[in-house]
Amino acid sequence: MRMLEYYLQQAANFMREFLLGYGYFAMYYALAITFVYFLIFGLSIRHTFPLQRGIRYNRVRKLSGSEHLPPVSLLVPAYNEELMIKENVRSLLALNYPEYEVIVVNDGSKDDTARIMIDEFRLKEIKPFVADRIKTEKIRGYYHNPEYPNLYFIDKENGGKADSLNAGINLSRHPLISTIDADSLLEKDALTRIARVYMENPEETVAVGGNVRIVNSCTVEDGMVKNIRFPKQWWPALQNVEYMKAFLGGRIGWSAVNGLIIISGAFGVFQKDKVIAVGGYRGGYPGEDMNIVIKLHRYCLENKIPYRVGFCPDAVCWTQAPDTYRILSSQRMRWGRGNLKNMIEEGIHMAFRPRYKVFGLLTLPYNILFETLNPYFRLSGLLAMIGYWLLNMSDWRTVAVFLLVNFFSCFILSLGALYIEEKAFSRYPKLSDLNKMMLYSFLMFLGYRQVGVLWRFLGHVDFFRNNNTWGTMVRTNFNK
Amino acid sequence: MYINIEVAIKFLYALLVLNVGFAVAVYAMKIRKLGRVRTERRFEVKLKDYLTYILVHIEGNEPLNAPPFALNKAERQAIQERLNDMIENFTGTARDKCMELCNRLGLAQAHLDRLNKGSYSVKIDAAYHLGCMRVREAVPALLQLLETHKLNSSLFVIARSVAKCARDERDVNEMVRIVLRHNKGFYDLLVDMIKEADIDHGALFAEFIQRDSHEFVKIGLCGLKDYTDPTVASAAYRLIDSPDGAIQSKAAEIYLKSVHFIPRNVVQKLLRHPTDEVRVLALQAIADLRLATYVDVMGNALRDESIRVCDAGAKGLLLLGEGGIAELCGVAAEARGSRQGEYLRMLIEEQIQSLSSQLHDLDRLTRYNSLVYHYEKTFGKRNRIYRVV
Repeated sequence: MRMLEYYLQQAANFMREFLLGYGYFAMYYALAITFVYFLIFGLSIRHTFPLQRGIRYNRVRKLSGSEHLPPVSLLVPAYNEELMIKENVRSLLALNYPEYEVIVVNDGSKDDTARIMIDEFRLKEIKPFVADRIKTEKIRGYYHNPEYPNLYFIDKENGGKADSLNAGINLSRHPLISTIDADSLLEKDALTRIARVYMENPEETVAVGGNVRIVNSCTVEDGMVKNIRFPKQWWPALQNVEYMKAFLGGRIGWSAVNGLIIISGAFGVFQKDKVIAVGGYRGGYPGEDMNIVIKLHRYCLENKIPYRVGFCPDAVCWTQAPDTYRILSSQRMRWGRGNLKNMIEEGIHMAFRPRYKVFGLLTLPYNILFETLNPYFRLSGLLAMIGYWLLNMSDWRTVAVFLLVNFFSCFILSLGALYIEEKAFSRYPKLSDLNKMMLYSFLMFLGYRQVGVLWRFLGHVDFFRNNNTWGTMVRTNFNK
Repeated sequence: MYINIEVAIKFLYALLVLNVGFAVAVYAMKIRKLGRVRTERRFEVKLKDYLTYILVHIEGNEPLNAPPFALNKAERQAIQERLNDMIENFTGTARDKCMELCNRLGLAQAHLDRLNKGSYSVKIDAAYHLGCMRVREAVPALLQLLETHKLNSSLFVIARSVAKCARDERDVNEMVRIVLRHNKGFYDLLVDMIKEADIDHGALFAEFIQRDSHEFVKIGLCGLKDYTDPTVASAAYRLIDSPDGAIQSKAAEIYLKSVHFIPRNVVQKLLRHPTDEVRVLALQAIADLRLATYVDVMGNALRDESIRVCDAGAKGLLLLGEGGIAELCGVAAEARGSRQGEYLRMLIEEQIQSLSSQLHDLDRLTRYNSLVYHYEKTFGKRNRIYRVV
């Protein structure tokens, strides 16, 4: 009996030592992550003022009529998009932009996407010149109707989103390509706004990302968002404040130091020759939007090409956010898988290497330690907390203080994003919308963030089990 | 575990203060914005009659009077925005009268003072408004501000204001010279700005392309993109031999747009150009100018290694009458079995099919008859050859 007690005592002592060591590690980890968050947040705030001047003093309406805007090919990959494809394409055809083409790529949809496109726009099969710079799945046909001179339609075998984008690149005629999700709506002047950023430095700008906002509960008429409202449902509302924090609080700051790691697949503009130079989009796995940006950084840095990856928060693309647990979890698990794949495939080869400058020394270490590995630290932290409680290593006061420090250091980032939103954009006109944003910024901490960690972890499990499916995705009309 | 809980509590208080500060700032901004919107709406009603007065009298000879009521700061800002929009949208007398009204309201002088005395953000705001109002007196101060400004979006705001306020070509030249010190290839944006200046843009761009500096040449070529003035043709032609590939292509494009006839030696030179884009442009120009004397040259282009050039040659030959069509069908028959040959045959058959549904147009009907006749003749079709009349 004494022997058992002795061993239990030894085990408890070891556990204490271990938890103590873990506690130090977790504290420094939390300090480091908070420091990086605050740094990026500070850069975002600082960059908001010149950004606001750029938005205010450039007369976009006049610029959108200029023949000196660079021509752009809009690539719209579509898979099972029969519900929204008509409205989306019509809205893209009505953009305020002098020279552009819309290339819709049907990625072997199982629904009527192809038939709807062909019937709605009375398309006829054509045999255009198509570059074969990037290999893709077999193309069934190219379609066009001279009555819609800017519209091209590619019908191809299923090969994934990246493959569809590559097929679009092969057909495109213009030096800039823009990727747009088929379930998203571009604002009429979004392309002009993003082109303005490109025009200020066309030699070095290899890519510019647009801002993605959530369209749920907004009124959409003729492919345009008319009445902007904060989402009424829980899940879209939580995602709304989450997107705002990520895009305004994060990407503005990352772009200021040329360390942006992702341009949302929903809306971004790229230099076509650079995309081709890096071999086009990587197929066969989600996360192609992050992958292409990492490859562009790598290509330019290895070849000593001066470059920048910009972000244009006033170029807005409205997208439908998942409104059920099932779809949202599926999306987030997919993102988690994509992120892990990118870090294993590209990130670890570039991280901590001075050759890759800010991207290798800050962006990738941040991404690997605080994004990719985040679920493991969080879950182990939870277990450690249980350990501290069981071994009587902590008291409620200490736990409460650290929980509050954690909460307020994160909440201030949400407030910062709201500050940038109000300072530079103020898209939500009512005071009640701001109240809701405040409320949901608080509610994010009561379960949503925690379940997000779990989804990312499950995404990693899927990755290791070689589950490479796209997951659940249900499309609905914009005005439900 | 050693935890200095006191330090954590102090940090917590600091965070709490920052959180409250940010929340207050966000709400203050929102409430101020809502207040401004309400004021602007009220002022819209108040201003309605005055704006009607402006629109009614904007084309007349008499100068526009200031509003018959005193304006507070917010109202001055609101009326400034309205006048900015009008100046941007109108031209000629209407624009001049709006500019004069800005002077009469003291807006121009107020912004001139702000440009000389204000903080950085005030100076940028003043520069923008002075540009909108085309205040000529602001140019020296604007150029001075531009001179010391670093490369960011505001640099282009000031540069655009200089262009809008420019008194003559020298101001624009000076602006271009300063901005080009940060050169990142923003030629199109510069051209867009220069076109806001109240000067002869064409002459300025034509002068630019005669300079030795590649940067000025590129700006000039961007600016002349849509000009079809024969006087720029010789300067553009000279640039086709430039060592810079981008200049070559743009110069060829402008040259081909500017001329009404292309000499044979130039045609041959352009069709030997290493860039297929230039060869395509040359073939399209021959077709557009209906230069039937170059049917033989077009026929040779059908054997070009680039399928785009081959396509442009074939489509051009279709527009060059009976001779062109005969040449097209002849080369297509000769090249049977090769990639080009198969492509030409497919193109001819597509054309026949397409033209057969547009026979109400006399030109197309003639082309259809000719194409069917030569196609069946050269490809040895045994079907009866018939022409639609």
